[in-house]
Order: sequence, then structure tokens, then C-alpha cells
Amino acid sequence: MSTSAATELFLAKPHLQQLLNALSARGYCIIGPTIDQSAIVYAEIRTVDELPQGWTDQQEPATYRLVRREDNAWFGYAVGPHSWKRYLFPPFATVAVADRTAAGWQMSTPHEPVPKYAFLGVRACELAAIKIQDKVFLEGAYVDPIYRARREQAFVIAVNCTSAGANCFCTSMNTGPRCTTGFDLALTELPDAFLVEVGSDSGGEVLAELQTRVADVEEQAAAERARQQAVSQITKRLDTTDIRNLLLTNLEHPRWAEVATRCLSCTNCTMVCPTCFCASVNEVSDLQGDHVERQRQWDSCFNLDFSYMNGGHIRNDIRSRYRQWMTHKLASWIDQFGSSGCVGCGRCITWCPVGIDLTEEVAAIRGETP
Amino acid sequence: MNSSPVTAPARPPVPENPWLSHTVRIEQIVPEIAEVATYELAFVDSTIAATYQFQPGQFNMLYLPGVGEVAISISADPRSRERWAHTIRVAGSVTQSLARLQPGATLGLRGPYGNPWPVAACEGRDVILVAGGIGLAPLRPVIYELLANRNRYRKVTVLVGARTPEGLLYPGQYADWKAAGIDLQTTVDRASPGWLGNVGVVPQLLDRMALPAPQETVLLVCGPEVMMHFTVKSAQRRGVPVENIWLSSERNMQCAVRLCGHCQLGPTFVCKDGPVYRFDQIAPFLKVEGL
Amino acid sequence: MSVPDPLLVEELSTSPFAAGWPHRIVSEVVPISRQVLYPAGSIIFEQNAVNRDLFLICSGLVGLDMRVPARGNVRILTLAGGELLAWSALLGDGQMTATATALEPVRAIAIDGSRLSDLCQHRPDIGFHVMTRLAESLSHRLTATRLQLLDLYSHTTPHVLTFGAREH
Repeated sequence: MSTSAATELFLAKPHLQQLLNALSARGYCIIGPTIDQSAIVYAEIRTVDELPQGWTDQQEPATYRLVRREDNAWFGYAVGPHSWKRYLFPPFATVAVADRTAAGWQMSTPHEPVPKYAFLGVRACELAAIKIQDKVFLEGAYVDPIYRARREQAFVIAVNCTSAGANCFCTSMNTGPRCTTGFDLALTELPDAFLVEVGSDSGGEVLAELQTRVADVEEQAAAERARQQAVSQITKRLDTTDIRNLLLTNLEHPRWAEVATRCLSCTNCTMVCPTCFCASVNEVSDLQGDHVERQRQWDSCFNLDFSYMNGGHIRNDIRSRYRQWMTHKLASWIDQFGSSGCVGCGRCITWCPVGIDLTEEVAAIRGETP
Repeated sequence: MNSSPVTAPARPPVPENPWLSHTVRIEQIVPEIAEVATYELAFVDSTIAATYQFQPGQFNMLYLPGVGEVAISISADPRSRERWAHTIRVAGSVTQSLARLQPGATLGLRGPYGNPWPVAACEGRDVILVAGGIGLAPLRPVIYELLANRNRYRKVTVLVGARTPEGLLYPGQYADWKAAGIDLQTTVDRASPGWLGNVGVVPQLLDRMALPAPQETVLLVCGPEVMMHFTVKSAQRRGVPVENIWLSSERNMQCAVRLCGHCQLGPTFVCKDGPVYRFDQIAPFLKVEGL
Repeated sequence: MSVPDPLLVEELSTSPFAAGWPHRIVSEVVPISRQVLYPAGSIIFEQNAVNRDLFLICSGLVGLDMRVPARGNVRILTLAGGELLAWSALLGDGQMTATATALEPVRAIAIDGSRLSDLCQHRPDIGFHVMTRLAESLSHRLTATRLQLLDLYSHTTPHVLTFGAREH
């Protein structure tokens, strides 16, 4: 997967539709950014007109607003409430079924058609998030078949950020903003064109069908300036120095009780997080009780029932639940999966109704501020 | 008594769908103590029965369609080949529904999961098993294993604590175990009329024991966390090294395959890194309330 | 005073009570100690009766029972070799709070409580050793009593290894 600037190809902006057409022709369901309920979400799109052209997202802790851009950029926003995990690790999925037969209960795997997704507009932090979820779902002793089926046939079109939101801190987590790996194609948006990098053979094959030419030096320089603009706009920082030991040796720090007075335990941060993977399984049966589906749905460590055990709840206050979430995300994850569980996308800060900022919480435990 | 050792790590082939249970039939239900019964389960598919193996300390997920799943430690002899014992206490909806089933009924089973007791580390050493209440169930396979090769181990002691004499699990087996070379001692929190045995908590039994070679003593503990805490303290006071102390811990087990996040205890997943832990690997996290 | 019984000296100095004491202190305690034997079933002392001896159990099992109106004798604890029995002989007025019964043949060292108390008062070095061991014993007993009080195996408290996932 070379990312050398020399391989960048010039794709005139309207010709992005050719890419969508080529993917459709290959049977892909294209998921891309589009506006719904005053937010940029990821949903099925068919034409480039459905992209959030000319819109951006203003983000602050507990704040998300769509506003008009001065230009007509198609990917001129940071990240919204959705992440790609909702397509690779669906919020609802049937993991097994059971049928009552004359010979007793028979359990089987449901055979539902697996959607073949092409993801358009995947940010560098999101590529990192997918890589992290790959570790969780594909690289352990047990593989999640639902994730694997979707992941294996997904086509990934990354888009380099050319601007950053106020809650972005990918540079602290070493996950962006430059897309370097994990994509089939990567785009950098210029006012009238995209420069395209190829990340895989299938990416190259699709690209070969489009009207492209090799980008000239000036175009490449313009793309590099656009990408640098994102870097320079990132102001939020998370000091990750020895963060695993910092958090796991401060499990009784008074800050946990303090943040618990603000946290509503609403689960928003875990729902919008692109790496959170906790789930529960519910029994859904027909009226006779003869056919039962085991339905997995996203769960959250902020739910009281999450730690239910034999008549009691292990984490029966918000303090212990917030601590579980943050220590897992930033510390335990390193033990479990070899990297942080945080990619610095800032969603948990934006979508927290009371604006809790985990970078501030870490700083407080570090004894820095506020 | 002698027989072939349990074959080294039983690692069944990883299933395509880790959520999929096998159908098992209840062969027999043995009432134990109040609200506790042992279910002897047999695989309906004989090819699964032929390959199924577990190690002492591992657990299975038992599944009642329409009700849910529950993690149950296997209390069978590791050499079981046809039916596998699971000692279950009625605690919630799944176990309540299980309690209403009769022999012949079918349910789902997947497993085995989790880290086993370190049986190999017990060889050539004094072994002390400490069980509180139903905590004897996950230790019973170790007892079977130690008895099957009794000459490989030095002194074997089993200390059992229960709330009342009626709460002592598997009392019908105590005489056999003693006769086979196990020093088995019991104690109860509350004596009933006629009880002539020990009254007091199980760490006191450990306090009273002679430990001639604490460095060469292995301690396996299973019971309520507070009971395990004081048992381990007693052993440490007596010079048993932390790396010889093992305990079985518990959290909300749901997927059992490290995919659902529920059973985390500190940086570990109980389903993958436990339920049996070496004490020093989990000690810092057991001390923290609400972890 | 007669020559101390060498068996008694050996028994006392190797007991958990006097373990690690300097020989001079053990030898001060030996003259006020004596070996006692109780056959199985015999009463060592009765609740509310006055008993002047502090017992150091060498072997056998002792049941401690308290009388509860309408419930009769309730066994609250059993004590075995290495444990102390009848602190009230040293710390209180000698009135026993429970009845002690030998459940098996019991061999013990009985130490005269009032003379041990005198010894502790006049010889702070002995007093320190005796009271330290007594406090340790009380502390262990208190911890054990707390554990009993927690009723850990009660069905209404969370249990280990019934593994109640999603059990409501």
C-alpha cells in the first residue's frame, strides 16, 4: 500500500459519480456522508448530490451544529454521530436461532444475506477505529462471524481531512489526520477535483475505470497544503505518556467522584465511539415460543445492568462506570489489544450532553488542570 | 487409584459461529442442597460427545431458548465421556427455568471456556483446596483429578465452609474422598442442633493447619470474594508464596468468547483470562470496589 | 517451687501463644501453668460461672455455646489446637460469657489468670508479650466473627460461581 505522492491521480470533481457508478455496478451498497436530522450521518447514497456539499459541522463539548461553508466542499466537515461500526458491527444482529423440534431444541446460525458495503468518506481516525475493531472481532481466539462477513467484502474509500473540528485530537493518538493505510482508495479534496491514492489492488481496478490522469506537481502541492491545514487546525491534545499506568494506578483518584457528579451515565459516548464494542444478547421468540432468535444489540458499560451479577451490580454508581469506560478505553485496551481504544475523533466530547471532555479528565488525573 | 492423565489443554476447534450452542439432554437431576441441584447433561450429537473435553475450573454456557444463557462451572469428573455434571444454584430467570425442567428436556450448551486450575503446578506439592458454599462445585473436578493420580501429589487437604451443615455441598462424597487420601475438613457459620463439627469461618481452618512446607504448598480457593480475600491473607501470613495461590473469580459472563465486554475485571476478561487467576495477577484489581 | 515439668515448658514454648518469646519470659509463665485434660463431652466451664484460668488449647476441639431463651444452647464457635480460650479470666472478672465443652478429648495448658495478670502488671516486658498475643488472638477472632456476620453464603447476597449472567 504505497502512499507516495507520485501515485496520486487527478479526478475531476463531478467524476466522483463515476466511482459511485463503478461500485454500484460491482454490487456495492455505497454508504457515505449525507445530511439527516441536522447532522452529517453515514447512510446509503447513490449520487454525489447527496453528499453534504457546502456544509460543515461546528463542534464543541456538548455542541454540534451544521453551518454553511464559504466554499462548496463536499467533505468539508469532521465527523458526525455515526461511525462505520454501525455497518460492520450492526446495532442489532441475530447471532443464532433456536427451533423447537420433536427431537428437542435445535440451534443454528441464521443465514441472512451479507450486505456488500463500499464506505465513502472514511477519515484517518476512522480507519484506525476499524483497525482496532478488527483486532477485537477478528484477531482473538474467537472470531465474530457477523463482523467478519461484512468486513471482508467492504470497499473503503478514505478521505483525507482538510479541516479539523474543535474536538479532534487524532494527532495525539497518532491516528491522523493523514490516511496512510487500511483503504482501497484515498481522496484529498481540492476545490475542483480529488487527488486519488490507490491502497489496494481492488482499489486500482476500480480506479482504472474512471477518467483520471496523473496529478501534476502543483496539484500535489495543493493537496498537501490542504492536508496540512487540517493538522494546523487541531488544537486539542491528550498527553498519552505512560497513560496505561497513570490510569490503572489511580483507580481511587478523587477525580472519578468529581466527574461522576457531571456524568449522566446516558451511554452517548459509548454509542458514538467508533471502537466501543460492548453488546448484549436478548431472546426474541415467536408467540408459540417455538422459534427463538438470539438478538445481539449494542450495550454500554454505563448501563447499570451491564455489571449485573447474581443479585447485585458490581458497578453500582456512576463513578465506577465512568472509571470503567475511561480506563478501558485508554488503559486496559492496551493490555487487551495492544493499542489504545481511543482514536482521537472527539465524538464522545461532542455528543456528551454535559460536555465531559476525556482529555480534560486525563489531564486532571495527571494533576495538570483544571 | 491410577489412570491416564487428562490429555493436555483441551482446545476444541474454534467454531464458525461462537454463539452457536449444541443440543444437550438432561439425563439426571440430583438435588444437592437447598436450591442447588446437579444436572447431568449429555450431548444429543454423539460426534460432539466423542470430542468434548474440559479441564478442571472451566465453565460452559447453558442456554434455555427464550429465556437466556448462564455461565455454569463444570463440576464433573474431567474423565467424563458421556454426561457432564453442572451444579447449579437457582439465582435468576435462567436457573429458575432450569429448575422447572425434567430429565429428558433439551437445552443448549457451548464451551468449555476459561482458564483452568493449575493442576500441573500441584504435582509434587502439598495441595490445599478451600471452598466456600457452592464454590466447591468448580473445585470438584480438581478433586477428581487429584484422586485419579493421588501419588503425584503430597498432602491434599480440602477445607469446606458453608452457612449451615445443611449447606455443605456433596456430603455424600466426603467419606470416599477421605478414604482415598484427602484430609477433608468442614466448618459452618451457623451450627444446627446435633452438629458436632467445626463452627466458624473457613479461613480459621487454614489458620489451624500445620503447613510444614509453605513454599511447596499450592492453594486453590473458590468462594465469595471476601472469603477468598481472608483465606489468601491467612495463607500469605503462613508463608505460602503468591505465585502458588490461585482463585476463581466471577463477573457478568455473557458471550464467554471475549467479544461482548461484560466480564471485565481490571484489564482482564474473566471469560478469557479467568475465571481461574493466579492471585498476584488479579490482586490489585480485586481490592478496588466497583471495578 | 518445684522443678518445672519439661513437657510443659516444651509445649508452652512451641505454642503459637508463646512462640518467639525469650526463654526467660516462658520460664516465668511456666510456674503458673499446668497441663489439663478434658474427656470428650465434658464441660470446661459454664456460661456465667467464674473461671480463673486462661486456656491454651494444645489439641482437640472445644465448642463455645451461648444460652438463648427459647433456642437453648447455640454453638457460636469451635476452637482447636493453638487457640486461646477464656480471655475473661485475664481481662475481666472471670465470669464466662459462654459454655465451653470438649467435643473431642482436649489437652490444654491452663494458666492461672490472676497470677498472670499480676505478672503482667509487675513485669511490663512480660505484659507486653502476653497482651500482644492476646490482642492478635482477639483480632483474628473479631475478623472471623465479622465474616460470620456478613453471612456470605446467604442466598440474598451475590454469590460466586453460580455465574448469573443476565439473571433477573
